[in-house]
Amino acid sequence: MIRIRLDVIMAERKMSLNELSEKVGITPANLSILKNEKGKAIRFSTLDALCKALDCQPGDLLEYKEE
Amino acid sequence: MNLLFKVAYLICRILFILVIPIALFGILYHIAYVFFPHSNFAASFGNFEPIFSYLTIEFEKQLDLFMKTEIRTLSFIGTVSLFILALFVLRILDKLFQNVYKHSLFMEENVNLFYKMGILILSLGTIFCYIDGLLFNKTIEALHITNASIQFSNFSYLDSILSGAVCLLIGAALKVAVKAVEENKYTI
Repeated sequence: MIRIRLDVIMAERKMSLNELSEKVGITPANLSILKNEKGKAIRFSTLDALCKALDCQPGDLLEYKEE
Repeated sequence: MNLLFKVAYLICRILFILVIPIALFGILYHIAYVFFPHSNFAASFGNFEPIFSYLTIEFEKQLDLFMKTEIRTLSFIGTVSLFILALFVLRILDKLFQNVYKHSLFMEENVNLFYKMGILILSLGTIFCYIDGLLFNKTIEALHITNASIQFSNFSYLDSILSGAVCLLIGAALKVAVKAVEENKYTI
């Protein structure tokens, strides 16, 4: 399954959900869905904005783990 | 453009209200002739004439055909089918246009509305069209035309079968589109 490591990266960058929300232009509610792995899909544009705001690669945010 | 849907659902609502008294009159008219043919109530409506097609044929003397119980019953079934169909379709269209105006076309509820409309047109529409054609055919058989012959092919019910099937197909297509929109909605 695909795991999202948004919480890890945010902790590493010491960035709050609201701060990230302002930077990427996505509501805290939707970011929370992503962070808690409740989302079903992610847009390339969202991934692009997250990578830009967190200064990381898509691979840092997503990882594949066997169930 | 959005205003168009508001106008559409308001028209459907007004038509629905207007059709109710006409439907009640039509049904009462038939109930009187089918169940109480010799009552004063039936006599108050005058001579019985089934309502069929868009053609008005006025006979100088009431036809014996129209006195037959089976013809009156057929006319009753046709009228009930027509008015139930009209009222339900108007209600469904009202709800559909209201949904499009207030929310979106791509809703699960609209899929069900298209399915309901398709089934209604397919069943009640076909019953009405077939009975209508049958009554019309029997009536023109009673005409005496000297220099011509008339033959009526009762195929008009195929229109309602096709219309109902098209509504069901639109419903099925909309279901796929709604699924795609829902998927997209949960994409962040």
